[in-house]
Amino acid sequence: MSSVISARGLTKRYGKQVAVDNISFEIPAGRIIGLIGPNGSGKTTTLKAALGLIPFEGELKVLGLDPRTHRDELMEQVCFIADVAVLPRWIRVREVVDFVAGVHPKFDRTKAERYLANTKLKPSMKVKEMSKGMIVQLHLALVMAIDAKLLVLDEPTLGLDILYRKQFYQNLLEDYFDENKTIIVTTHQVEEIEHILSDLMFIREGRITLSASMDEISERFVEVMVPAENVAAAKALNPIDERQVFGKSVMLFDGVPRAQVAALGETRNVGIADLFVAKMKGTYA
Amino acid sequence: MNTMKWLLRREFWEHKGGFFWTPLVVSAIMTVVLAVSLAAAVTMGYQKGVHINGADVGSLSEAMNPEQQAQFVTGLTHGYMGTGAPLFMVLGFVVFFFCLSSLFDERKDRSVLFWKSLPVSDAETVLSKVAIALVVAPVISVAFATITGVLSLLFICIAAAAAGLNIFGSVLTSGAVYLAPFQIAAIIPVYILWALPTVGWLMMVSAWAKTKPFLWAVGAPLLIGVLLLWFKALFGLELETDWYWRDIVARGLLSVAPGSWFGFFHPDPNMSSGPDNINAMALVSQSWRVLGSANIWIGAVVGSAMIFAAMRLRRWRDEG
Amino acid sequence: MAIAWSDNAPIYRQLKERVVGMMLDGLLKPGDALPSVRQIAAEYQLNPITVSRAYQELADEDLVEKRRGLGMYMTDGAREKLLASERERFLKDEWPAMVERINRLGLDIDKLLRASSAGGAQ
Repeated sequence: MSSVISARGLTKRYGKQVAVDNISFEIPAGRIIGLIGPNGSGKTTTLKAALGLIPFEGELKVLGLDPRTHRDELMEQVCFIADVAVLPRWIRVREVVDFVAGVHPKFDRTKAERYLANTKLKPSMKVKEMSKGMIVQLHLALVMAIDAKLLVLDEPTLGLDILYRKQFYQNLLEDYFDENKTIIVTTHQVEEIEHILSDLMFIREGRITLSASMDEISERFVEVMVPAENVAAAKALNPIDERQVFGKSVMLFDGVPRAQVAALGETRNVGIADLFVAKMKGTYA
Repeated sequence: MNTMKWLLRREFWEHKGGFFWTPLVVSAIMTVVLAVSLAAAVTMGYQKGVHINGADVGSLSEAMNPEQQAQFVTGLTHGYMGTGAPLFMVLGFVVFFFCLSSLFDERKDRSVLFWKSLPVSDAETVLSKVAIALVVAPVISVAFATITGVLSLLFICIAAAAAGLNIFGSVLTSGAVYLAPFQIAAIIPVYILWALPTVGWLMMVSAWAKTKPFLWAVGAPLLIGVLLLWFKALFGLELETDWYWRDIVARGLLSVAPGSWFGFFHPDPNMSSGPDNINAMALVSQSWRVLGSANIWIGAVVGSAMIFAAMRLRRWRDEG
Repeated sequence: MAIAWSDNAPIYRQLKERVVGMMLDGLLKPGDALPSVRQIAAEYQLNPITVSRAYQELADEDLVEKRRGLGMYMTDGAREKLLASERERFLKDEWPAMVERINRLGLDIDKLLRASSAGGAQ
């Protein structure tokens, strides 16, 4: 299965500052990948490079194409939502649907209209009259009607209330995603998409600190609630993180066999949010 | 995929105010003003010296002999499109401010990230904006000018009839009446070529400026000009700087005004018959003569280069 | 619908257990169609791959069968199979542990049974 995105030595410099530092990764098809990182970590820069919005150094191929030289061709198969509020404020629902139908060869108008029929959006409404949630609904209606191989979502639910957020992912999963499509999501609301993701990539200060499938993560990482008497023994196994919860030590181990730590206390899978915090410690310090 | 058609429509939807409503309102106002002043002239008795369209309305009277009538009708049918003059002045402003905002507004509200998520190239997008400014907008203005002109013809004929003169026949049978709109339209190609430097400069600034594009577009050339003068004065140099103000500043900022080429290439005074007499035929031929100058072609090349630069800026500029 | 998934087992296994629970409780009857992978993924906000995996394991254990073009259906023998395996687990692990506990607490097993059947008749 060929990769949807393949990067080798991808680097982006802004003057002296290195936003993306020589990273390499492969993203196979049919996955939902979470690209998680703090602000300024290089995640948006990486996405922009993949979408051909900025120049870069190194090798980057999206659907086999170089986004620098084949952007127009690439955009027929890639769609992105850059932010919650990028639809032009003057445009009406029917105008934007007409426009996308007129310029995008892979747009299915009836699909978009079917989705819109379930919302409160009317054809004559202007974007400036809409709430943030409604704008997202409109943008999603357009995106879901486009048969793109890759969908990039950069903080698509930022600032939305919970109803719209849940609906957003529900709609994507129900009516859009299939094994031929790939979705890359970046978000700060990690818990929300925890179970939707099939793969995870942590990025920090321009470097990838973790890149694994969710299956691998559940095998590799284990959290143990260690009672006081076992703390010393547990520490000998080199946990990558330790925190205190209700007086008990919760330690996170990377690559230590479950059988070994099971003896020390209650084990469980680590949540992405906790894993993220553990890996990012030091960035915020 | 007829992308250009949709891009043009998109621009029209976004700027309906400037491209459609503005000329409509201007036309409506002019038509009303004309109708009212004619009605006033008719009811209050003709006063000599009221000129409309180069035709001395005051001279309308039963006393007009056939020769005077013919002269009147000729002036009318050749110059009636002149009622549209305000429309073309407005066009200059609309095109100027459109170009200035064309690649800036979408960056300011970040909607460029939506447009760029679709398979439409930056080149096509910029081209559609040039097209709507230089082709579609003038065509719409000519259309409205024609409507206004025809209405003005009608009103004047009615006013003449009220004075006992029937000029409907001679107006309708004159060839000039039907030619005039096309003649005015024939000026558009000259306008396109002449206006390119300004369109290019404004769109380039529009694509480049982080904020306050007007200040950059107008302020920068003015500032450089002032610096040049100051430099000249400071060092007592015998520099000839007129060319800068004429060929850089004026060409760069004012070329979107229809007819601005006449500021450079003064029209042959023999071709019009009086200060108020705007002769459509004369306008066309004088305008097309400008195509023989180097100025217009150099300007067109420079303008095109700047439009190309605007395309590159839109392609590679890192937004948000 | 938001389910609080536990941290102790992979999601696909928890999902599988939910379906099994529904079968045992009779909420799912033999011949009933399971909701599609998409529907489950959308409703519970899970990755479709996770859901497919759960369904696949259910199919491997002959609890559900795939009908081409239609989806997953509970097999006829599913309930019996589940009861059989649950019974075996009870008899092998849970019951002996229970007996040991009863004895440890010093309770009389016959007394308990008589009390529970009387209570059960109520």
